[in-house]
Amino acid sequence: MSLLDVKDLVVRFGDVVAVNSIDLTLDSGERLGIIGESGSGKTLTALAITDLLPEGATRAGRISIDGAPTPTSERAMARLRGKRIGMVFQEPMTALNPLMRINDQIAEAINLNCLHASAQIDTPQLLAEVGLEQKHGDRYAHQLSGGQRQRAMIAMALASQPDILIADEPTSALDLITQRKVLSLIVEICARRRMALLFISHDLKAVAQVCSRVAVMHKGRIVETGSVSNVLGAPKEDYTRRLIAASRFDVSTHQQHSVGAPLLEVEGLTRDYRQRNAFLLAGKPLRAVDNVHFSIGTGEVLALVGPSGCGKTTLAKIIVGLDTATAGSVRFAGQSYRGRDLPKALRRDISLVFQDPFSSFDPRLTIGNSLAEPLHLETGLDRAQTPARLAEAVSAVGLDPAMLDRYPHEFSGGQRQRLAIARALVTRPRLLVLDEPVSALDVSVRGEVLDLLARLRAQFGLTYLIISHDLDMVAAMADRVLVMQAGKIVEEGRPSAIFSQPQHQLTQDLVAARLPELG
Amino acid sequence: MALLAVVIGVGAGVPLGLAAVAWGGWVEWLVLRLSDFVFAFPAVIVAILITTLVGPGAINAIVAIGIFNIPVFARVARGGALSIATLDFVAAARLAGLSNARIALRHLLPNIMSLIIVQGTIQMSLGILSEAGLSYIGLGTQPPETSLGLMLRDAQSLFLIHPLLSIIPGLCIVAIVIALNIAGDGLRDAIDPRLRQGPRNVLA
Repeated sequence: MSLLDVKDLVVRFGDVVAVNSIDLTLDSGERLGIIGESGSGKTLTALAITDLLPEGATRAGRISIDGAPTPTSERAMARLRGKRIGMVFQEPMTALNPLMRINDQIAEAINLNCLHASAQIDTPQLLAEVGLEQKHGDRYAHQLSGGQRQRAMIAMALASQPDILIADEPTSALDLITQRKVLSLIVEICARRRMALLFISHDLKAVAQVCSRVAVMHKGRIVETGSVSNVLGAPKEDYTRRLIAASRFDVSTHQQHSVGAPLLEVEGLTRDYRQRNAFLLAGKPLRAVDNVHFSIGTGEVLALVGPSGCGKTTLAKIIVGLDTATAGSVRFAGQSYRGRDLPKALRRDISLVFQDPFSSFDPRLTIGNSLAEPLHLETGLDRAQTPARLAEAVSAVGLDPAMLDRYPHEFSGGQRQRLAIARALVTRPRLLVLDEPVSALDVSVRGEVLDLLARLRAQFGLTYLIISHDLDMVAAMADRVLVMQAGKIVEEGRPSAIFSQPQHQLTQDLVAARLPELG
Repeated sequence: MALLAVVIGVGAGVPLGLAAVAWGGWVEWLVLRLSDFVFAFPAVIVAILITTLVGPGAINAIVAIGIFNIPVFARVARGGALSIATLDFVAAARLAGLSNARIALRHLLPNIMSLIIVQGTIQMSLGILSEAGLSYIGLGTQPPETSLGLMLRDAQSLFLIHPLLSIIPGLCIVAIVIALNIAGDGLRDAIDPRLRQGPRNVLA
């Protein structure tokens, strides 16, 4: 008899079937991964097991724990959730109460759930178990980093000493190094406590690292299930094969490009943020970008790599003219500027593609209206030419110009990112700054978007500045890599050289944190 | 009548709130301090003061209520616009070289409309209640014109003989306030493209 047994589970929203008769079993101590794209129903499956489905969803099928069906009354279910199942969510900032100290939140979880537990457990013990120091317990959620918050979440989930831990994309909001540490922590704790794990992710490599068994979900169904080595090593289903292919970045057209004269030169760029102390006096400034020098040649793909908070996004904002440097300057096509004073005539030559395709379009405007916006920069442009230019940009990213009349919410994440690239191309720029262009996308569409970027570059002779923390993507795309830490550039070189022989400590950590390739 | 008070509030308050966000800096400081200044006075007392200074009457009462609506809408517009302004599409618009005023009109205003409509219906209900209150104490609408508040006042002395005379205007006020709130919710849903077109994507 398995610890958790799910039979014929169906989740419906009205007429829409989101999870379509799936069967799952989880034995005690086993680590099962559920892989799927967003919208495949993997999160809903987890929520259905804990009976936490959103409003409007109905559930059918049988879910039993230790052979006993889960109770139907909310009170009994709440007690069961507390005692048997721990959950870790994707977004550690919103999952913690911002007004309570970490210690108090963990203590609350203990008090609610462990009244009858034989082995008592206390907060310091839990903090130590998840690798946090005692001083972290006295802090509030906003005083912790993303990784520390996720550790605190795990400590809360462990408070009831559950038999099952459900982790829903626990690391996708974290940067590479932290991600690797949190994954190892989860594996280690599960092994030590002989706790079963249900690990939900779209990241095949993470699942391969953490789990022993895997189930692949597609459109609400489980299409393939089995041991990790069987499913990911020798997939039977076409869909699984496509997922695996997509998780490897081989950008087909990649080769070293001939690099022309410098297009953009960054000279001694520094950006300070004023911090005010309690007396409204100017405190010590926070230096986000610290005396950075580099240049990008025409036609080159330069990648800027670094952990979150290292100043890479600030640097990008200055280059595109959204922020102003405190010192230093940027030279583009022979003209010098410091940020917001970027001359209007040059603005059309530099475009930015945002990380999050969901917030980069105004939900109240049609795609066509959003895409036409950058054309304001072309003063000589005839209004009658606008539709032709929009159609040209949309066709370039492989979408149908008929989509221009629709609203952003009608598109998937991958389509929106294509449209965001189309918006960046509409002014026919020379330099494209890409801020984490694929990190908000499903693994299965990342490859497509990168292929598109490689093709556009060949087609229009574009120069790219890619900002990312994803080394695999950088290795596939970039001609040259800059590694950034605490506002400074600490290493520079060709991707093959940097990743095979990293010199700086940070680069070594980054390379070590890469998850191994599949198969 | 109360509609006019809301129009005054929206007409002056929303542009002030949007300007505060789009320009920031001293504009924002000025708008916030001005609204604090107005908030510092008890609304009904000042309405009484205004109507006693310039003479009682329906229009004067409405203007008095309207002035107190301005900071309410400025605050609501600023609060909503602040959270919209952090989103990437506003940065995209800045990159596209749009002026502050165009960003405010094109991106900020449509995205805070639902907030303003909801606040508008609330202020409209409050306006009807305040007007009724002012008329009741004889500072609002003057006979021979009439209003619900005035009807209530006239009916007061006859309450024990003809209770319906005061119950019916009272129920009218309640019905109008409820109807306005429902209409506001409907209007909010009707202008949102996410709710207007096609089936809602429940998984998003």
